[in-house]
Amino acid sequence: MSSTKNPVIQSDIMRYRPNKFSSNFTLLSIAFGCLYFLVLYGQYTRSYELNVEVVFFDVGMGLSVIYNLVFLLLTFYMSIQIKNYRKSASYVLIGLAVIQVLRIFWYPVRGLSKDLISAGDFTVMIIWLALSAACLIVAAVFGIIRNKQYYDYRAKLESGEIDIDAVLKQADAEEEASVANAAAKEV
Amino acid sequence: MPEVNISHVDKIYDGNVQAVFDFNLDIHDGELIVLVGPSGCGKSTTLRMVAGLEDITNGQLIIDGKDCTRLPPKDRDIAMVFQNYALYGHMTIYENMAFSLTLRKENKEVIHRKVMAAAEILDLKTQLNKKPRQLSGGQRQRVAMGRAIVRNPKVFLFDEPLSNLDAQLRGSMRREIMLLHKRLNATMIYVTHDQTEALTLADRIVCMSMGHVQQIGRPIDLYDHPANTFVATFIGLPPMNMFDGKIEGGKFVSDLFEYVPEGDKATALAAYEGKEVVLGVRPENILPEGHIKLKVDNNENLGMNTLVHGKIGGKKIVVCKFTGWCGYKYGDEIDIGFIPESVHFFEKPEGDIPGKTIA
Repeated sequence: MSSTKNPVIQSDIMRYRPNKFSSNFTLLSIAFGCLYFLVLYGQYTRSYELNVEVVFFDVGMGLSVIYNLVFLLLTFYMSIQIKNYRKSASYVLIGLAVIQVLRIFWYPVRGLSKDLISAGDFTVMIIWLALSAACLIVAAVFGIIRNKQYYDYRAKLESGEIDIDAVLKQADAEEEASVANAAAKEV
Repeated sequence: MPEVNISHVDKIYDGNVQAVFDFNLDIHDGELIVLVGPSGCGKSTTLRMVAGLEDITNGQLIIDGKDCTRLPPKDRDIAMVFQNYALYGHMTIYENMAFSLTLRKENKEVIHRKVMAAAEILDLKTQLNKKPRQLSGGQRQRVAMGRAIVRNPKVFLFDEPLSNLDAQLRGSMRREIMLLHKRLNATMIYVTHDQTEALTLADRIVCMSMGHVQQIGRPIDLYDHPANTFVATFIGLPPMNMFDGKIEGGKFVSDLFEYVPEGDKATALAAYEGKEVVLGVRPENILPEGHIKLKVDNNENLGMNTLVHGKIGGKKIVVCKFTGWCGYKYGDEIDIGFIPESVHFFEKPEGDIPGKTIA
């Protein structure tokens, strides 16, 4: 079997297979985002034990909760869109990735500076946010690349520049010839 | 060398219920075998044993030289098309057809080429991004066949694939299966209860009843030379007319008419002098001239032919198939006779055991 990838066939596959790579990375970013806010909201217990007037648990925390819900829903929706090679979804994911990075400087940095969260928890929160942002960037970049590849291929197909049936037949013929050669060599 | 060899296969369920008795069949490479019979005759059970979905109680199954008797289905290199399609509703048509190769971790390009080739054969290229619920019954069945084709198996198994389709669609799908078989030149085992499908599709037919093989042969052989009364009445539409009687003085004598057999038939029947036998004659082998009186009940004018339903002796229902448009009415009395070469004689059936052909 030939291991060389045929770029035309690879592009044709995109007509029938969704962009699961970007979609899965988008879903992974949701998971990392959830881990971040689990650690964040877990700080309530610590501040209660310290009997400290908490900076965190004010109106801003309520907005944080709402944002997390919006982030979850929007990112999930974008995972569906990017699966179908929508370029706009990639741009939304890039925007979300930037927000994830900016969130580092809100509760984590402020909390550390006021000794309200430990260094360990700070590091963990940073890592989850960074990973979430990284997954979104990877998903977005691959989404843009594959979107271009997909629509360029479709344009060539519709204009008649590429005859996919001929390409597939040729690939089949090459495969058969390769199998026949291999069988002949064995004999 | 036969592609599939089924030797002395029995199927016995718990409680000592035997569904298949001593099934023997050699299927040659590229042959389309049809297992036909009424519901409960063991044809689907036999197919499922070949597939590995049922254990073989006794006997042996060899596929292309490999003993598959105890092998799991995935190792038998077969593909099966089910009556209810068995498609995955959450996957697109493309994904359904690619599924078996995806499970085998086949190269994506190879999968794509095979799916596209199968889609082209089955005229499904424009449906590949749809889900099964968006397709008609015939299209879904084509997808099921496509899913089998991409695997390039040694043997295709079809379990009444057209039963869920309406009559018109069955006709067109039957033709598609015939074309598919010619195109792929693949070995196929096809199960149906519809004898029309059996006669039109098969290279050879295996006619079954109550777990037993009644006859194996080409469609023309089963039609013209049935092995027993069961095959004679099951194959052919309308079914063969059967008359009970006795051989007396070299003649067939019944309470409805007497018939003098000719040639080889007379010679064969000599051994049955004084015994009860059955005379069988197909509707198209009855002539509108002779010495037997038929009282017409009704006509079915089919254009090229007419089916005339009537009674002999006021009690025995007979169906005749005459050429052309007949104008018989209810109550008309006509004379009928039989084409001598086409008359069959059978031993008298005993209970569930059909009577064997004498001549």
